[in-house]
Amino acid sequence: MSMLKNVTIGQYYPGDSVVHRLDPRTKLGLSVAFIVMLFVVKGFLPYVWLAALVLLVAQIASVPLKVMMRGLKPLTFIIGLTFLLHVFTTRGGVTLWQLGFLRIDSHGLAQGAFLSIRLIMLVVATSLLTLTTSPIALTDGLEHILSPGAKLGLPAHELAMMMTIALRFIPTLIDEADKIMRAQLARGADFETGGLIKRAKNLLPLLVPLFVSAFRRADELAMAMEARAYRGGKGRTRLKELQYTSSDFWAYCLSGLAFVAAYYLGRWA
Amino acid sequence: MSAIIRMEGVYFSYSNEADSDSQQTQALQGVSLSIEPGEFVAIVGRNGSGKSTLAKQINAILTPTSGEVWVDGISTKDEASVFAIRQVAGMVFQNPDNQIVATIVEEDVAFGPENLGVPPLEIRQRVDEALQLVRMSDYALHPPHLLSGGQKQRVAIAGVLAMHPKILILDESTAMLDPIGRKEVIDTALRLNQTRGMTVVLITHHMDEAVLAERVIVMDRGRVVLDGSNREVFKQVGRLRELGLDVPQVTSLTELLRKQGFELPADILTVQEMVEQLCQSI
Amino acid sequence: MPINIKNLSCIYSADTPFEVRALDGISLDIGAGEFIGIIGPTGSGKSTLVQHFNGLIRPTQGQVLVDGRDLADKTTDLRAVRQNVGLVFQYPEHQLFEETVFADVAFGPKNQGVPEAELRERVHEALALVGLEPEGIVDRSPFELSGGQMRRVAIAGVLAMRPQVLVLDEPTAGLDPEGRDELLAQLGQLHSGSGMTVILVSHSMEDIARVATRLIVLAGGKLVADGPPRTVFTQAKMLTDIGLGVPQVTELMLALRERGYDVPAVALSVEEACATILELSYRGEQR
Repeated sequence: MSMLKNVTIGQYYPGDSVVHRLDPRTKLGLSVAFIVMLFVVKGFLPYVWLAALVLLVAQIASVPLKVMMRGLKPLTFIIGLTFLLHVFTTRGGVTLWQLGFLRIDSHGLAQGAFLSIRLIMLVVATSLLTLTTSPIALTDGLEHILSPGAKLGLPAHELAMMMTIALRFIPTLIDEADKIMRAQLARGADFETGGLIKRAKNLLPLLVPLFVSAFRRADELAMAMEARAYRGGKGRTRLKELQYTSSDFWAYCLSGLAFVAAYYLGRWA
Repeated sequence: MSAIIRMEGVYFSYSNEADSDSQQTQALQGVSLSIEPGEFVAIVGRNGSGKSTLAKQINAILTPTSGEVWVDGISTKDEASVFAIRQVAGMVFQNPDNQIVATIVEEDVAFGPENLGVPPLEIRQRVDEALQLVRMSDYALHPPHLLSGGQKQRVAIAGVLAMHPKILILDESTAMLDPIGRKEVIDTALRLNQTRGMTVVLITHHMDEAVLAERVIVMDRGRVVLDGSNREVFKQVGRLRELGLDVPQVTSLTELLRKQGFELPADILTVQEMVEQLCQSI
Repeated sequence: MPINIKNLSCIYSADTPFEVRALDGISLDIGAGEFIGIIGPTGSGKSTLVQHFNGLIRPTQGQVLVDGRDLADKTTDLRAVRQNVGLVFQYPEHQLFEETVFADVAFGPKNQGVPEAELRERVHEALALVGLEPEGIVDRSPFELSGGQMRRVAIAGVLAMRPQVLVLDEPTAGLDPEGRDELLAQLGQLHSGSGMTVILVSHSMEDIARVATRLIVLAGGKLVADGPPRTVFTQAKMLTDIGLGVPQVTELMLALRERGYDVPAVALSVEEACATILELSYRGEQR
């Protein structure tokens, strides 16, 4: 029950570093580029280079290593599974260990390590993005990036608004789910025993009230937004207008160079 | 025409069909009233009396099915002016959570001015000023879900203030708060009224809040049944009870004592007043 | 069915800088058939405390005995405890989910294993106890009822389990004065009619003073007062300091005493205050 409260999604770690102050579009773009690099480069050396890059950025942003690694906790199972899967199935190189039909080859070990490290870096890079960029800044950045699509009918502003509201209400809805669960438990509800189908059915006393409440909230929120003169994206200004600064220019340049270096490191090795 | 809110013969029905017993479903039945700038008015009544429906006429969330409402001289029937009306008349709702849109306090306070197309630098000033007025400046960068109910409502008030309104409508804004939260909200409203001349319309069913208003309007079944100063209204203890309302204990006590022949003015509202009067009489 | 609490503490994030003592060394005993009000400001631990009564929160420090059974004991059947100690949360109408009122009120008893044949009796009984006419609403959807009716249906859903102890967290929250009076009267009737132990959790002094015969006051996780309202209200200053208050008429008595008048320190009702003042005046005239 209490685990619900510990779910942190994209937790923002406040700070005033250069990284924090970068335009969210820069950070979004570079994060995507980083992830692409993860899949493009070959070999360990580039990975070491990219990992060093991440650690450097984290250092500049004053984000403690411990905090960055938090995002990995829920994924330890998947990462471990990926590792073991490749260790035991990839063949090649020197056979290091064998027991019956279970076999570990050196290539398997390398592949397992490589892929799990890739996964780890992917998560850490994304964490770094959400740790140094507030949800509002992220949605603003996305809105800007998507806004050219508005001319083609893509509702960029509305999408961004929806994302902001969803992010805003996640903790509130989690709290409410907790309350509803307790109320139903007090009436003898059972959320734990039974097979898959039975358990799904047993969730109704939790899901129905949650949905009803979500719709009611949406209704009330819409009215409150209208009362504050909301009428869509037309004519809206922003408290914080996105503006590129020289820091963004340097971030793009230096990251670009680092990515190129990573690529060639992979070629040489 | 100096009244900042004026209603004439306002009828309102939630259902669209014209049914034969439409009398029953009329939430408002012929309401006429006017509120001057700078007044602090409490509107009370039992559930279903129409007080919330009345409040929503002021910022054009609802418009009359017959009759008319003018806010700062603008008729709410004029669809093109709804935008302007909502800048003048700001509303804070009952559920503290369901009116906060942003993930950070100051971004939520900025929502209103952003909608009005206020230039960014000015938005910054308005947000800072509004947060100061509600005494929540220290929480500007906080996420809203960690605030108490009273704090959330103050943020909501700041969000309205940032639009520079002339009227602040509190639609049962204290109904879901604990006593401390209620006090925070009411104190803020009183302060805004007294120091900045804000017209305040307070819809509540807490009588200890209503007594603080200089003018009280009592509603029942869609009609205004009492309208006067807090003293005039609350001394009608019996009538208020019939209408499903409370009176402060000291006011009820005054009525009881007077019935027993005790000499007391009928409109005592606070403990302080009661003590003064008793010291004179005993 | 007694509930005994010995030195109960509830600590979150122990031994970290974020340690929070939601409850701190609480001891109290609740006997069968009492009508208790638990009061405290927000954050005083009242909700945490009552969730220990039905095992929603297991005690980690201290002891909670319900009808002699230790809730920390792994062998105690918590589901049985939850049937005997019914807990109605704040805004209980938010937990309604079934297609008909009947099905929703029957949810609790069904989970108890009550046979189909007996369900109807339980549902009708529970609805009557909250002042609702069963015939009119059992087949309707709970979502098409008024707010007040929905709340009563939710309470009926807990009563249908025939608990021996009924705990209600802020049952009058959001109700207008009329609704509040009706509900409190109903609860009073429930208590006197069935001998159920009723525990009301609230932060409204005036509400609770009306109906409870024993007040338990919490502040900052600690028990700061426990006794009949008359006794507890004599500590008016302490109550005001922690953000509660006393009924206006008690405030009046205290103010009069400050002015040197010889009146009792506490008045629980307007009638009582009236009698006191008349008597005071009579004595004054006599001199």
